[in-house]
Amino acid sequence: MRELFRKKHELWLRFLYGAFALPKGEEFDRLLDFAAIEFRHLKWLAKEMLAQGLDFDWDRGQVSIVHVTSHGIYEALIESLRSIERTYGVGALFDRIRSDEAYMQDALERMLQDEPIEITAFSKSLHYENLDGESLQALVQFLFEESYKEYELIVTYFYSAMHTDSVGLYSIFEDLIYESIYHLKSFSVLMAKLGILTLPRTVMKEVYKFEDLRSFLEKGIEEELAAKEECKRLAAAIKDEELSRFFSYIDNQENYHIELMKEAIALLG
Amino acid sequence: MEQIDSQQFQYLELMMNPKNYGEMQDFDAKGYGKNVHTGEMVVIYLKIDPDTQKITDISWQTNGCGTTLVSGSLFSEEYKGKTIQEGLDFTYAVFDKIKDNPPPDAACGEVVARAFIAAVLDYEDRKKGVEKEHIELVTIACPVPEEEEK
Repeated sequence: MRELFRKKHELWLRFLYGAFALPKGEEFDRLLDFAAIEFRHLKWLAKEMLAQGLDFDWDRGQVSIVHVTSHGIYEALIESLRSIERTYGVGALFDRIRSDEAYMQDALERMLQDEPIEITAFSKSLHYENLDGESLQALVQFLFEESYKEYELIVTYFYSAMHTDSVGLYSIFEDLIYESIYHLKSFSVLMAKLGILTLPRTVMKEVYKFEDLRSFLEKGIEEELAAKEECKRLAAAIKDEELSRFFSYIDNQENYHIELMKEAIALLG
Repeated sequence: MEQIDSQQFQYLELMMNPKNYGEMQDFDAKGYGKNVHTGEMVVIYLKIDPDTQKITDISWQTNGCGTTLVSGSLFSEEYKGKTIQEGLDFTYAVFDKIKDNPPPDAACGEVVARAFIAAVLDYEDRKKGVEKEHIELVTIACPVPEEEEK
C-alpha cells in the first residue's frame, strides 16, 4: 500500500503538471479535474492505510513532466494509468478508482484524436511583457520559492488532517489545502508562461512528520507574514498592472490563512 | 532570455534541477544543519569509503529558499570525491568567506556547510557504535537564541 500511495502521488502530480503545461482551455480544465479526482483518491487511500495501521509518506520516484506537445502529456498519462491499474487490490475503494481511471484513460485516448498543442512551458523563454530585468528576476525567484512552499503546505496539511481526531482541525487543514492548491496552480501557470515550469522538489519527512503542531502553526504564521511582505514587495516592484494586482490579491488571501492558523492554535487549547 | 544574465541563468538551472538532491537509504552518515531563525533545514547523507575516507556519494534535501538550493547543489558537487578532511577544510573555508556576506545569503550557505559537519560527527559516532541525531545550528550568519543553544 505504501508503494501504491507513492505511485498515486506521482500520478496526481502528472495530471496536475500536465494541466499546468497546457494553455488555458478545455484540455487544461479536463486534466485539472482529473488531478482533483486523483487527489481525492490519495485522501481515501491514506484513510484506508491508517485504518489498517499503516502510515504513508510523500516519497516519490522520478516524475518526468517535460513534453513537446500535448500528445506527449496524454500518452505518458495513459501509460501511467495502465501501469498503476495492475497494482490495485479488491474492494469498494479500488472499484471506484478503477472506474474513474478507466474513464480518464478513455478521455485521454479521445484527446489524442485532436490536433496536438505545442508546449512552451519548458522553453525557458523567460519573457514577460512589460517586465524589466530586475522585476523578472524577483518574479522568477518568488515563483520558485513559493511554488515549492505551496506544495510543501499541501502535503503537510494533508498529513496533519489525516492524523487528527479533531473535526475542527480537519476542516481548517482542508481549507488550507485547497487554498494552497489554488496558489500552486496560479504560480505554476505563471512559471509555464515564463517557460520554467518545474515540479517542486520532494518534501523532507522531517517537515511534515513533526511532533509539535502548535510550534508548526506558529512558524506557519511567521512564514505567511513573510510571504505577505514578499507579495507586497513584488506588487510594488513589478511594473505590470495585472501582475501587481495579482500579488496584492494573494497578499490579502494570506491574511485569512493566518486567521485559520490562529483558529487551529485556539483549538489545541 | 536577454532579461537574465548567464550567471542568473545558471542559478535558475540549479533551482530547476538541483544536483544530488534527494534522500539516501543506505547512507554511512547523516547530519542536519538548521537555522532556528527561519526554520530552514538541510539534511546531508554521505556514503564514505572506509579505507580511503573518500566521500563516494552524497545527497541532500532542504525546505529552504532558492539560495540554499543553489548552495546545496554547488557544495555537494564540491564534497563529492573529497576525503572527509578535505571536505572539512572546504567547509571552514566557506565559513571564512561567508562571514562578510549579507546575513540572509550567508545563512543559506552556512546551513548547508553545518549539515556537512553534522554528518561528519555522525560518521565518527557511528564508527564507535553510537547512533543519534546530529544537528548543527547556523551561528555565523545569525546568532543562536540562548534557549536553542545546545
